[in-house]
Formats: sequence, C-alpha cells, structure tokens
Amino acid sequence: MKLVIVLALAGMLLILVRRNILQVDLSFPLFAAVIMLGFASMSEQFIDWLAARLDILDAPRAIILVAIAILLGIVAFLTVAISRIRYRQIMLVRFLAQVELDAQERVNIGTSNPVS
Amino acid sequence: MAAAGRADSGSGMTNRRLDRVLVFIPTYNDVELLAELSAELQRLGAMYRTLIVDDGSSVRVDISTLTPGTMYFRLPTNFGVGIATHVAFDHALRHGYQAVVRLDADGQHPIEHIPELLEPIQNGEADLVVGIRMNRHEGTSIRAVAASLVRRYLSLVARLMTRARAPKDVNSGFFAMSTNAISKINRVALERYPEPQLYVLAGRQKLSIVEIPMRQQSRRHRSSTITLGRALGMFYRFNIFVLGELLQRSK
Repeated sequence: MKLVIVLALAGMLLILVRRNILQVDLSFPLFAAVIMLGFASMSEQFIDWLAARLDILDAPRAIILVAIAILLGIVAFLTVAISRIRYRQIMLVRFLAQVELDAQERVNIGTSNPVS
Repeated sequence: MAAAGRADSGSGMTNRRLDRVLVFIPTYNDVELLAELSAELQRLGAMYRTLIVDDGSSVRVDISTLTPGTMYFRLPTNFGVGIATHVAFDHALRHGYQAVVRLDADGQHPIEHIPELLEPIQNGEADLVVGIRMNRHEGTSIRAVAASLVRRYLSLVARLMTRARAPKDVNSGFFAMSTNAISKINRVALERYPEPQLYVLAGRQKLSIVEIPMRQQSRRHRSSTITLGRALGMFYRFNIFVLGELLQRSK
C-alpha cells in the first residue's frame, strides 16, 4: 500500500512537470521528499544508520525530521524564487513607467513646458 | 539644466538656478484631493511639473479632472511608496529635472512652502531639505503612544548612524531633493515606507541636509495608512536595513 502511495505521488509530480504546471527545477526537492518519506523509510537499516548519524534516539523520527528539513528547504527555495520574480516585476514596472511617462513628457513639451 | 552659479565658499556647493522641478505625489486610495493639488501646484509657477504615481489604488483616478500637464502613472499593484519614489526619481533623472519635491496626497503638506523648501537647494546650501512638522499632536491612545515610540527609535538610530546628519523627524514625507542626491539614492532599493531609509542614506552619503520647521495641516482626507501591523513591518524592515548598512560598513 505504501509503495502505491509513494508511486502515485511521484507519478503526480511527473504529470505536473510534463504539463508545465510545475517547473522541473522546483520539482526536485519535492521528489527528494517523496523518496525520503517513501522508499528510504522502507529500509530499517537505513533508518537506524540515519538516526545514529543524527543522534536521534527514536530511529523512525529521523525520517520525519529529514522530510521536514527537505520541506523547509522547499519553502526557502520557493521564497527565493518568488523574491526574484518580485524584483524582476519591479524592474519591469519601472521600465514601463519610464516608457509611459516619457510619452507624457513629450506631450507636455511644446505645450505648457516653459523650458524645453 | 540650469547653469551653475557662484561657488559656495562654506560648503563647496554651487548656486543652482532651478527652472525645472518635479513635484511628485505618491497616492494609494487617496484620490479625492488630487485634482485640487494639481491645480494648486500649477498656480505655484511654470517651473513646476506634477507627477502623480498611483500605487495600485483600488479606486480609479479620474485623469480628466487633473490640470493639463500633470503626469500620471498607475502601478499595476500596490508596491509601496519606495517603488513609487523610484519611478519619480527615474523620471527626474531621465528628463533633466533639477530637483524633486515630494508631498502627500492627503493634503497635509503645505504647498505654499514648496519654494521655501527649494531655497537651500537653489542657494547651494543643501542637497536634501526636509519639512519638519512643528505642530504634531501626540495622542494618548495605545496606537499613538506606540507610534511615537517607534518614531523616536527610528530618529535615534538614524541620527546615530549618520552622526546626527539625519533630520530630527525621519518620518517626514515632505522633502525636496537635488539631482545630485537623487542620483546617489536611486541606486539603492527603497522600501515600502522609505523616508527613514532615505534620510539615513543621504546622511551616510554625506549629502548636506537642511531641516525647515513648518506647520503642517491636518489631513484633509482619510487617515494614515500605517496600521499597527504595517508599523511593525516598517520597524522590522528598518532594522534589517540598518543591519545591512552596518555590515557593509564593517567590510
């Protein structure tokens, strides 16, 4: 059952990427989180090894913590992506303002502008 | 551009004959007084050109009511006064305006004081002239007390960072700035409420700042857009800016 859920989630991500709804760069951490929660948690040896590395007393919690860390990474990644889009949007708006106001300034020249 | 006059022996600055001044009015849902303000500005003289930057108001501005020659640009969404200020600064630099005056759209800034605000720039005594409100009435409500404390904190930090060059009221939105100051400040991304940042930048760039005390009118329309949440945001952004400036200085 677990394998089916994991495969379904991975399949959904793949469909989103194929349909250009989710950008491939942004899908990578999501795939990593699905793999970590799904496939990696199937191996008891891996969980014990990971818990020992992270000094976690209760081994199964290691998977949850790693998955949360990955999801936090996704949030940070998305925040950076949104910030970049915002900066680009601001640059674009400033450029548009220049074009629009240049036109208005040209209309003013020769009408009521005493200097130009 | 006006020709440079005599050199000022005291500050090393020169006299500037101002014949092109851009008066910039940022507005966010404060649209009722725009026609009146643009008419008042036109009466002030031919050297003034008005630019209204609408920061994505939900209320539409009736452009036909504005005085002919008034320029108007509407931002597609609410970006904050910082971006609106950049739009005005970009335009002033591109079209050779010698100074920019900023005033609020709610009618609290006395338009008749604009020539007085420009005088130190014209005389070569200042790059930035700030109109300081002398008749501020501090309220006793929690919001008013909190706002007063935030204002004092911002002023204290700004003055410490600029070695007392920043004006006493770093929240004043009534100022005049020379092209020299604009070209230096426009390089930095301005925040949603940029006044304290602007004055700190000017002080740290060692631009000469002059304060002119003046009685400002009460808002003729609407109240302040700074809610408690926005004030907290402003406080946070200012501290991040200060931290960035200090880190840059230590490099």
